[in-house]
Amino acid sequence: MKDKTLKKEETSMSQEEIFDGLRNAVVNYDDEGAKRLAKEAIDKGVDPLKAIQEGLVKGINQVGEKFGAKEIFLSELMIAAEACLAGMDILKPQIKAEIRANVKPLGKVVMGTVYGDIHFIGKNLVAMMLEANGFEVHDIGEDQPAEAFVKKAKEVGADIVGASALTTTTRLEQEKIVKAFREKGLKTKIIIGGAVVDPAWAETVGADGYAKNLQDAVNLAKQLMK
Amino acid sequence: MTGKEKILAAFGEGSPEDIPSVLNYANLALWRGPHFWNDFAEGKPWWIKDAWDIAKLLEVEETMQRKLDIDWVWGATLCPSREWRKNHIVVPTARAVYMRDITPGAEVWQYIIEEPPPEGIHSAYPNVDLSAIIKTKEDVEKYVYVEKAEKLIEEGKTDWVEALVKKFGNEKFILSEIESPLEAACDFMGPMPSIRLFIKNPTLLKKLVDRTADAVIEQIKAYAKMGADGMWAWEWYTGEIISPAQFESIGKPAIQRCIRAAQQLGLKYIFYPTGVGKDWQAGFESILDMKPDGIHLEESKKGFDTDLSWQVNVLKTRGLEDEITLFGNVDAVNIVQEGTSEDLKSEIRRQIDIGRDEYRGRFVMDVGSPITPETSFERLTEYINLVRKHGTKRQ
Repeated sequence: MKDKTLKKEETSMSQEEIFDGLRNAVVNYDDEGAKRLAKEAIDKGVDPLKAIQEGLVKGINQVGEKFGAKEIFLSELMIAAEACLAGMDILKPQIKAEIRANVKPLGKVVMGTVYGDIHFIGKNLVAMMLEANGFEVHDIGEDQPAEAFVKKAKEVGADIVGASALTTTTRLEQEKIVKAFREKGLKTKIIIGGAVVDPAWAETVGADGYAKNLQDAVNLAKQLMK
Repeated sequence: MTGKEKILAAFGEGSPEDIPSVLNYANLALWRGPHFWNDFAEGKPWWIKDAWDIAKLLEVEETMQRKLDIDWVWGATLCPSREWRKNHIVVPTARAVYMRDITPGAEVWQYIIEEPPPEGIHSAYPNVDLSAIIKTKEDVEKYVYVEKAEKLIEEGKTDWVEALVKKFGNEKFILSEIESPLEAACDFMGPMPSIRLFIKNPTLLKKLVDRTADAVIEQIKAYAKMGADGMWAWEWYTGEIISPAQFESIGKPAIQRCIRAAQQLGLKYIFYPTGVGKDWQAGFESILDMKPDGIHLEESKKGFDTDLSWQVNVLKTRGLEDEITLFGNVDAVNIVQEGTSEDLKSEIRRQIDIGRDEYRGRFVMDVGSPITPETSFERLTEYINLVRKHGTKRQ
């Protein structure tokens, strides 16, 4: 009943109201709302790329600022990012083929948590933020051996591989990943992150970069694509 | 003083003299790193861990205790039931090592068990996701089983604890481990579904956490009955993953129940929270409110400051120096594994001085996180010898 009422209200929404609605859906962790408004945008002929940029991305940036100011916490940031991606999943396929051809992703990224390590929060957040910032992200999940990173990177033609490790005992796997790529002559840039990782470790293992936090990861990925 | 007396003195039961020396996750870090296994197992095959051969595992523990001489026995936890142990045998062949189920009357089947890789492995908790099954409070009651302490004991799941207590209990502090209820509940649901529940269905998550706490308390009762001395509880959701309000309403009451249950049974409850430190003092203060017997923070990382002197300062400001014991947190990678001997010596001395002088000996020396597989046996013994040397009562 509630949905029907909302639907009725949404049919009379202006483009600006749809953008506001998408932004608010992200800010309010409302993935269903984001999906519904994304569909509404399509039904009303709103430019899907504009809906992403003016609605969803603005929303996630607003949430990111709140997170930076410690007004909200990781769980909230993650659920907001999920809402953002839920809307994107509907809007992205609607971007016309010719526009898609001109709006190439900033780069292709394979993300994963290393073998023996099942921590996911940092990895998921970086993946979501990269995607929200225009990268094509392939998340291979947690507890993944070096070969899985190589396989996926080859399959999708990745520009960047992001390997996360949270524990002292699993960060060794990052070195294995770098070695596996280099031994196969792959030029894919490899960035590493996680609680026990620092610039010195990145240098030791021969990674192309290290990201301390979410913003660092996005900036580093953009930098590596130049 | 025995190791046990030293640790109990650090918990306020007796006069602290020598600073106790322990290693967190000693079984995990040491048994799972093959080079450590070779140091302690004296030729026993690696699969005795998988087979839960208690007699042989006791011999390994005895060698480890003799060679390292630490003051506690880590990992007095539940083991597979007596029935399971009777009906499972390890079959090594040229191709692989198999675990074979020989339950009478049942079809014989087997699966391959893997040898730890040369560089060692970290504990990989299974990624369980029951979020598709557990949708209501009734589902929580139905699927989250609370196994009574008496049943755990009757089925022989406490046999390993009993064996450790019998063998080492007079000399060493026997430490059992439980999964903190908030952490355990989230493990049931899987990582992302749990995060969603915090935001979208906190009532269901709270029910799950409370139910999990019921199960954990039964384990605590079983450990106490077997004669363990303390509980170790690691909690992941204490950092800035969730909001303080979420922690206060969903996690804290259940954790507090576990702490009280242990304390009422005479067990020391050592809390190992992640993600709290100088940068997240509110989280640390919230943990202090629960008054566990001991707090162990990981080492400082990436500018996240958990320095011992800061901890001491916070506890003294709150007047908790006679109630909560602190644990050392020497950096397991940058100091123990990679630091120079001088780095190691000065950090050990610094932490012991803080613990003994500024915190009046309510202090147990430890590393911040598990010893890494890359750490050599020689380096480990150097660390332990330095702790013994500097931790001995000044004459």
